[in-house]
Amino acid sequence: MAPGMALPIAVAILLAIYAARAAPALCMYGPESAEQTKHKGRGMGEKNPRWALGLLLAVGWLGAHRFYLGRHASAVAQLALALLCAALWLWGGPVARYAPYLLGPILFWLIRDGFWLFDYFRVEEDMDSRLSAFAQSQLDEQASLPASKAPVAAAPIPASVAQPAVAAALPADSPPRPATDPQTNKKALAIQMAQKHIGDALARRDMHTAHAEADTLVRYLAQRSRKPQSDPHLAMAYLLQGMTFYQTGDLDVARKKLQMGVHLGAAFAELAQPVQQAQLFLQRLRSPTMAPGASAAPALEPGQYPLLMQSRDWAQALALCEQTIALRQAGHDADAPDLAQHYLHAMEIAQHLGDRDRQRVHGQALLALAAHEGAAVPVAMRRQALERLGDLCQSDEDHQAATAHYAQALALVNVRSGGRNAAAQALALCALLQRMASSHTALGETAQALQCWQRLVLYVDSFDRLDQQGQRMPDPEAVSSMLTDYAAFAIRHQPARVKPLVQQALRIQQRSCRGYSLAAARAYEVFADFLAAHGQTEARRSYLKKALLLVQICDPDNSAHLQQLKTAIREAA
Amino acid sequence: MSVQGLFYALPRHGLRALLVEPSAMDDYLQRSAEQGGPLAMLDQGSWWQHDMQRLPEIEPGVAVEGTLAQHCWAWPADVVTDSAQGLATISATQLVQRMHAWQKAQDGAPADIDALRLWVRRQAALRSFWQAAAQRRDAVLLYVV
Repeated sequence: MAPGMALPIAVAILLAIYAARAAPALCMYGPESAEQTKHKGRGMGEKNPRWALGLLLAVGWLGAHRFYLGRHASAVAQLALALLCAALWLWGGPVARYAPYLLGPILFWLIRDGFWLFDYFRVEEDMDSRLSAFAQSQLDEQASLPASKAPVAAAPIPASVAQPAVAAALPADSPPRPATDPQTNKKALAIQMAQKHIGDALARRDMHTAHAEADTLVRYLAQRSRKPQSDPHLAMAYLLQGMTFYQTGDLDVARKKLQMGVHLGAAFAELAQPVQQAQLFLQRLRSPTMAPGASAAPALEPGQYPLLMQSRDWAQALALCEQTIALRQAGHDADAPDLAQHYLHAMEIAQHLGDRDRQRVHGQALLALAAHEGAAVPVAMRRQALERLGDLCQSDEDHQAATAHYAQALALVNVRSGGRNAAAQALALCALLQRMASSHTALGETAQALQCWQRLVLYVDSFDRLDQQGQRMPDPEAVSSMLTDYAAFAIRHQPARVKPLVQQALRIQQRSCRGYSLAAARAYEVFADFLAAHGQTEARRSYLKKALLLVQICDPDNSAHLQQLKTAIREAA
Repeated sequence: MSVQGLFYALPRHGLRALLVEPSAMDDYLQRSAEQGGPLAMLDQGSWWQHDMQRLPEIEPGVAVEGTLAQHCWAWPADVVTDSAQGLATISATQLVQRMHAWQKAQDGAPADIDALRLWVRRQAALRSFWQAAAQRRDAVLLYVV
C-alpha cells in the first residue's frame, strides 16, 4: 500500500469506531427504538443501523456499508470506483488530472446512500415494531382459544377469490420449518401479518389501508431480498398485492403485480397453488366476458342485456331482460327501483320489436310493483310507464284509456321542484298536456282539449321568456312542435290564435337554429293549411315551398314527405 | 381583385349544420377542397354570374348570410337532383343559341368562335359537376369570393 493511502484509511477506521459509538445520537432513531432494535435485531440476526451509518461515514467510499448490508454487487462497484480514482491519482502524470472527475459521482453516491440507509432502517424498524405487536397478539389469541381451535389458518381475507390462494401459500400453513433461519421466519411472519391486516381492511372496505399494507410488505421484502428470483416470500408478497388490487377493482395494477408474482413464484413448488390461482385471475383480466376455457363466443349474463340494447340486438336483449326480471322477482330482497328500471327497459325493447302486448304487460307489471312497493319505485319511472301505456292506448285508438293514463302521469309531475329539474319537469308536463289534448280532440271533447292547450301555452310562454332573456330553453324543437300542434287545433276552434302561435313557434326556431328545422317546416305547413282554409291558395303555395325547402335541408332522405309537399305545391298551382 | 365563383359539393346531411352555423363554413370548405377530390369543387372563375344567368335550369338556391364570402348560395340535394335533370336535357344547339341571344342582348354583335368554345367548355364542366353531385345525392354550395 502506498504511504499516501495509509493516513486516510487510518482516519477512516478511527471515524468508523467513533461513528459506531455516536450513531444513536446521529441517526434518526430515539434511544428506545435503538434499544428495541438491539434486542430484536441481535436476536433475529439483523443489521445494526449504528454500524451501517458508521461505516458509511468512515469508509463509505469503499462500499463498506453496502458490504455490511449484503449488497455485494453495488458494494464492489463502489469499491472499484474508489480504487480507480485512487489509482489514477497515484499513477500521476497526465492521467492524474482525470481523478477529480470521479470524486463527484463517489460523493453523490455517498449522499444518496445516506438517504437510502435512513429509509432502509425506517422500514425495518417500522416492520419490527409491527411484527412484535402482531406476534404478541397471535400468542394472546392462541392462549385464549381452546387447544383444538388453535391451528386455524390465519388467513381472514373475506373475499372468496384471494383467500384460498393466499391461505394455501402462506408459509405459516406449510409444515413448520426448523427455526434455524430467523430471517425466513420473520418474512413469513410479515406475510402472515400483512394478510391479516389486508383481510381486516377489505372486510371494512378500507381500500386505502389494504393497498398500503400490501405496498409496505412488498417494499420490506424487496429490500431484504438479496436475489429476488430466489426468494419465494417476495413472490408471495407480489401475488398478495396483486390479489388485493384485484379485489379492490384496480385491475391494471392487479395485472402488473400478478404478472410479477407469477414470474417470480413459478420456480417454487410451494407456490404452485397461488401461482395457478394468479394465472386464472390474469386470464380473467385478459378476457373478462369469457369463462375460462370456454368457447370463443362471449357468454353474456342476463344482467348485461343493456349491452345488447346498445348494439340494437333487440330480440336477444328482450330475452335476457325478461330473465333478469324473473331472477330479480325470485330473489327475496328484490330492489324495487332496480326491478322497475328493468321493466322500463323491457318496455323500450318491446317497443323496438313492435311487440305491443309485451310492452303493455311490462308496463302494467311496473305499475303493480309501484302499487305494492309505494314510494320505493321512483316517480319518474312510474310516469314514464304511464306515458308509454297511454301512447299504446292512443295508437290503438282507445282514447278514453289513453286520457286516463295521461291524467295519472300528469298527477306525478312536480313542477315545483327547484333548480334545473323544474324546467325538465315543466317540459314533461307540457308533453303530457299535448298528448291529453290530442286524446280529448279525438274524443270530440273540445273544451277539455282547449283547457289542456291553454295550460300548455302558459308553460311555453314562461320558456319563451327564459329564452328571450338569454337562458337556455329545454328542447326548443319540442316546444315549437307543441305550439304548432296547438295552431293546428286552433285552425278549427280558435282561428285568431293560429298566426300568433305559428309566429311564436318560428321565432323560437329562429333563435335556436336560425329557423332550419323540421319544427319550422311543420309550422309553415300548418300555416299553409290555415291559409288554404281561408282560400288563399297563392300564399299557401309560397308557405308550402318554404316547408319543402326546410324538409329538403333538414330531412333530405324523407322522400315520402318531400313527395307529399311537392304534390301539394303542384295542386296549389 | 377579381371575383371568383367556387362550386362545392358537400354531404346532404351536413348542409343544415353549415346553414345553422355559417361561420364554420369557411374552415369546412377549405378542408373539403383538400379532401374531397376533383369532383368536390369546381372553379368557375369570374364567369359564374353569366353562366348562372344563362342556365335557368338551376333553381335559385338558399342565400346564406354570415360567411366570409361576398355571396353564398346553397342547394339541398333534392334541388340538385332536379336541377341536374334539367341541365341534362339541354343540347349543344340550345347552348349556342342561348350564347348568341345573350351576346346580342349585350352589344348586338354575334359571339365569336373562341367565346363560344369557352362557353361550351364551361357549361360541360358545370353540368358534369352537377350530375356527379346529383348521383352522390350531395348538396351544392356556390361560394363567391
